[in-house]
Amino acid sequence: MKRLNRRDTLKLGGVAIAALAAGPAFARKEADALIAEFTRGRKPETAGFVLDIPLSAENASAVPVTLKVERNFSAANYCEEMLLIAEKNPHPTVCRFRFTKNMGMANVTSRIRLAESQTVVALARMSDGTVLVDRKAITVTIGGCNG
Amino acid sequence: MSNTPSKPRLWMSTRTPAKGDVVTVKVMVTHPMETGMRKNAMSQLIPRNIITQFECSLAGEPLMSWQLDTAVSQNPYLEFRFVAEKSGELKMRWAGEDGTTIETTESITVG
Repeated sequence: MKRLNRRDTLKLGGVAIAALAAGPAFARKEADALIAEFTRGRKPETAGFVLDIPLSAENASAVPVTLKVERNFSAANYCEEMLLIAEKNPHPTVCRFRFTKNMGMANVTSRIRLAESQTVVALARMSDGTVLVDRKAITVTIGGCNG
Repeated sequence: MSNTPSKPRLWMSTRTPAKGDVVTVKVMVTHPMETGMRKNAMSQLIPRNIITQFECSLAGEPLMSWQLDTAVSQNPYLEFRFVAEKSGELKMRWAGEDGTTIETTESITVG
């Protein structure tokens, strides 16, 4: 194997720095693609949908989150899906919920891990195609992915 | 992690709701939710092993499902609410990547 000379080493370093810089942009792109796939071209509305998450997390490996649709449900129009995205996590998709009309409402709570401070995005889609969104910024002091 | 999971911890606001009442279910299963990004004391990666799917049905009809990724915390916790319309068995089932399945059933009688 050819030994690396000084010039090669510099080139490799350059590539590594470029890859590091591209990291967050890549995550952003993945989150944007998720949102685009979920909304199916509809412009999300903000009324009647709440993402409840603390302003800061002491324990980032178990952050309580609540997603709830505060709209009138009927057999003809109910919430069929929710998507939770943390774009600065190694995997931006946190989880998805799918509901049938038998639920009569859409209100779920879980606990999630966050790698760093970021804006968490929640989306909901009603069965008539209406898309709802809420975003909340959260400060994380110690990341929750290595604990 | 063994393949004989413990029984889920479950709390329900009521098992005998009136028609139209909101029933709250809080449920937690024991599972490490290994992300595949953690290392053990020997600096080797611990293989990924998460619960990927939760499903819930009432009286044989699906209510909801939950698709989990690595960002759901260890010992996945879920709280959900639904409007009581009919009596029957509330069945809950979790499925993990390593083939683990956890199941539990509760009876609901709408008065």
